[in-house]
Amino acid sequence: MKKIVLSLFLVMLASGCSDETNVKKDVGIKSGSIINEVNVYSARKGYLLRPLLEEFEKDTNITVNIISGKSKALQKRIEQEGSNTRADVLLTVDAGNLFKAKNDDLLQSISSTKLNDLIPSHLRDEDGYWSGLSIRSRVIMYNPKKVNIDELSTYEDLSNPKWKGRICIRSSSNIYNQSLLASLISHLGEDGAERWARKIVGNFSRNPKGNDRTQMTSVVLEDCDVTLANTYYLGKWITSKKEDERKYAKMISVFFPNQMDRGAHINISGAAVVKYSKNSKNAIKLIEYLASKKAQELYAKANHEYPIRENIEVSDTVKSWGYPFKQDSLSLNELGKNNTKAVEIFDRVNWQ
Amino acid sequence: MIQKLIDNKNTVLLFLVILLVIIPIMTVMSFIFQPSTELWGHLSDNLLIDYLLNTGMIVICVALLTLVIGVSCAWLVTNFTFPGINIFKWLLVMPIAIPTYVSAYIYAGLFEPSGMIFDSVENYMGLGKELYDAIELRNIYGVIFILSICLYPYVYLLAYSSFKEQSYCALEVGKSLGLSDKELFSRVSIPLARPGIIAGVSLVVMETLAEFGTMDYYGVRTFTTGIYRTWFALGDETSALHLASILLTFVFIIIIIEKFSRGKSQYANTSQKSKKIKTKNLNGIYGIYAFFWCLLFTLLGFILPVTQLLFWLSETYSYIFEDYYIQIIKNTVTIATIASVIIVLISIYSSYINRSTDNLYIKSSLKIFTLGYSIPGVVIAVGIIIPLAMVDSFQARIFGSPLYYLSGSFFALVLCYLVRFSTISYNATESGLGKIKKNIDLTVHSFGLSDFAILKKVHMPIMKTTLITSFILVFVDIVKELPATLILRPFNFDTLAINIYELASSEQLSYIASPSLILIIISLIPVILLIRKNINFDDKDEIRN
Repeated sequence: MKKIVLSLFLVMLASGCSDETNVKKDVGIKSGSIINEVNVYSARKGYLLRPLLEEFEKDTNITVNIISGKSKALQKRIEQEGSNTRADVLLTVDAGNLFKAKNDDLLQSISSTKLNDLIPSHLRDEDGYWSGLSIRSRVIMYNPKKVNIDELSTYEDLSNPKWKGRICIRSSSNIYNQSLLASLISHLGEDGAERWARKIVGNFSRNPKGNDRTQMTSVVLEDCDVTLANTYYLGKWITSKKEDERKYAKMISVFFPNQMDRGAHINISGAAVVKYSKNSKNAIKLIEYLASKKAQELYAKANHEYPIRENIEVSDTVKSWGYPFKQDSLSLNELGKNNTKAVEIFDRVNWQ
Repeated sequence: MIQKLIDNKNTVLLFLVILLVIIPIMTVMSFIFQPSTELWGHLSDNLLIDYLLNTGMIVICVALLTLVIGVSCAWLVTNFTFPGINIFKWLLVMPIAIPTYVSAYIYAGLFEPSGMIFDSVENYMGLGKELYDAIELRNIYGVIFILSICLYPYVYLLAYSSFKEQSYCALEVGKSLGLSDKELFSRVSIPLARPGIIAGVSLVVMETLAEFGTMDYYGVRTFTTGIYRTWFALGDETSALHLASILLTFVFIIIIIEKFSRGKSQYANTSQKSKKIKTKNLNGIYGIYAFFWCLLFTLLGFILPVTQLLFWLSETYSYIFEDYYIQIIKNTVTIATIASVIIVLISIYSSYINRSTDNLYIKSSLKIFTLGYSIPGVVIAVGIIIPLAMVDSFQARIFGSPLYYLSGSFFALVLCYLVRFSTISYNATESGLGKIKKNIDLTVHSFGLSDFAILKKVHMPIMKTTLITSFILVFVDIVKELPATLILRPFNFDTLAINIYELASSEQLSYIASPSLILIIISLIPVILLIRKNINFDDKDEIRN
């Protein structure tokens, strides 16, 4: 007994691991620089990435290690691990998160001619700290039975009293809504954006609840007439294995707002090299790979998103909504810069 | 003599154990002494009341509901016979195998399109929209409902074993004094079982205080979601930990109440050799009442969620055969087994020291083991990352780069489970040891056996059931654990809980069917073993916290 307990402790303390044999083999030694590897902290779901990363491993002989989680928590972990972090790449969604990571001094600037050539400048950081890898658009979705397409025009128009009691949107704690409002702060000014948000709240058919899919369901079930949602959620419905989701997908339509002026609000999923990366060369290689034609075709398709660069095929599902469409070319850094203001506005206008 | 032996040989070891557990908690607590930030003013003006009221209401309601459900069901199955009783005895425990967040996902899905209930109401009555409008779970009542139906088994289990242990004589005396069934229940059984019941309820309360997933998914503002939001979204550790310290104050109060009630139990359960309680046959309408009462909660807590999962599985089953699943099942079982063994060994060792020493410092520092259960996993995780990152950079300063990265290691994960879950096993081993008379220790000591030998050869065999029980409870909790595992786990190490979270958070509810069902099965196997043990040896020591 004594020996067991003692040795357990020694093992735990000395090697810092709970089970000598199994575990060490898996992870213990990988940390050295001898092994050609790249470590990814990912807010994108593991199962979306796996096929791509396997391709990358095959092509380059670089082992990819990954942990997935919530973006903010992963950023916190990088921060606390400091110079000893093993993270090389941060893969995340929403420019707001990348902006914050850059501001918190978690990232390093890279200069990759490949990325600079391939990715439009408003979709990457001006100082080379991060780069977009796919585009998602937050658009109007409406019930064609209740809404005549002529009624729809812009995000701004949704604040019109004609929409009273007809709009449902998810809560303001969601970063997609925060980024949308952040973009409106840039376009309409802070006061304009606040007026807009206040009027939208006045047009709510009910208090915000649930996720994007909940809003779409409410539109289909005629709880409300229009909502704002990311397009890929509809993509998931259309290709769902579940019959009624496919059925619902047919009962809702997509409208890209602001096509006559600045274009529809977009955001990105993106990647960055971590400041204290030990394998930054491999990290850059991985990000470049994810921007390559081959990966882009898969990367965007896996989640019904839009490719970051032009001349890449999109899936038929995505095409059916209208592609290409006019995208807001506002620098995505603005979304990060205005995030706090957006949150404050939401609080002031009581957008729950 | 015991005193001397312990002081000489074991204090160092004990010191290490306590240090391991205390460091993360102290790391968290140390932030409290930092001056308040601006944000704290904003929080305490606008949100603190919300947090307090919501958390308070959830805790009180869940405690009361689980108390009523757990005690009534336990009373029915221990004292009466009615249709289906042998199945209910088992089924009533089963919800313990379903993580609360999974139940939250499932119930949110049930009344929405592609949910079982929605579909049947829509297809047979065409009233899908009406149902969708009528039932709204994403609010505080939804949280209370989910937590109550998921957590009542804790009260049920502990009440069940308390009722079972009750001396037949006590009830007979009551009967001969002319007490009715009702009076027997309220004046004999309940007072005797009170410590067990309170222990059960306090477990429920602590689980509720630490719960994050359900509140987060249903969008209810409580302390845990507040801590998370302040810490990660707003990036203000100090304010987050001010919130955490308020939460911890609640916990202290609950622990004191629980300890107080347990103190009395020592003379409440004196007669160990009790005859089995004679059960009374419930005939006619009462039997049917009892049947439906038990059916209701097994239905809500277990049968309905599992049926929904099976429906979803029928649409998404192909995913189950991927190699990936074999790997994550292996990961889940391995880490839970290793961590549980370590935690149980540490618990028995510490509770043995606690029993043998009179040193007040040691005794009070061991109380640390009863704290972790109610600290949200996220908070513990951060309390672990900070000191381990410090050790890593210390290593780096000496060796150039860390020889072994502690951050994101299995050590970090196991340590987190130790801090969080040793409460359960420590309470169990402590009360298990309490049942062994101290005279035995002294007698065996006189044969010249060492402490470890006594523990190994005398106590552990006597406490076998207790040890197995605490292993199982810890095991099941680790299998279900999500937030801390998400943050702390090593590279390429996914577990079932992680997989469920990923699928649910990308709004693909029906896909959670396969990992959820596997997780439930993995937790059920030990739970079933546990109940069988208790039903077969119902007068031996059982789960008593």
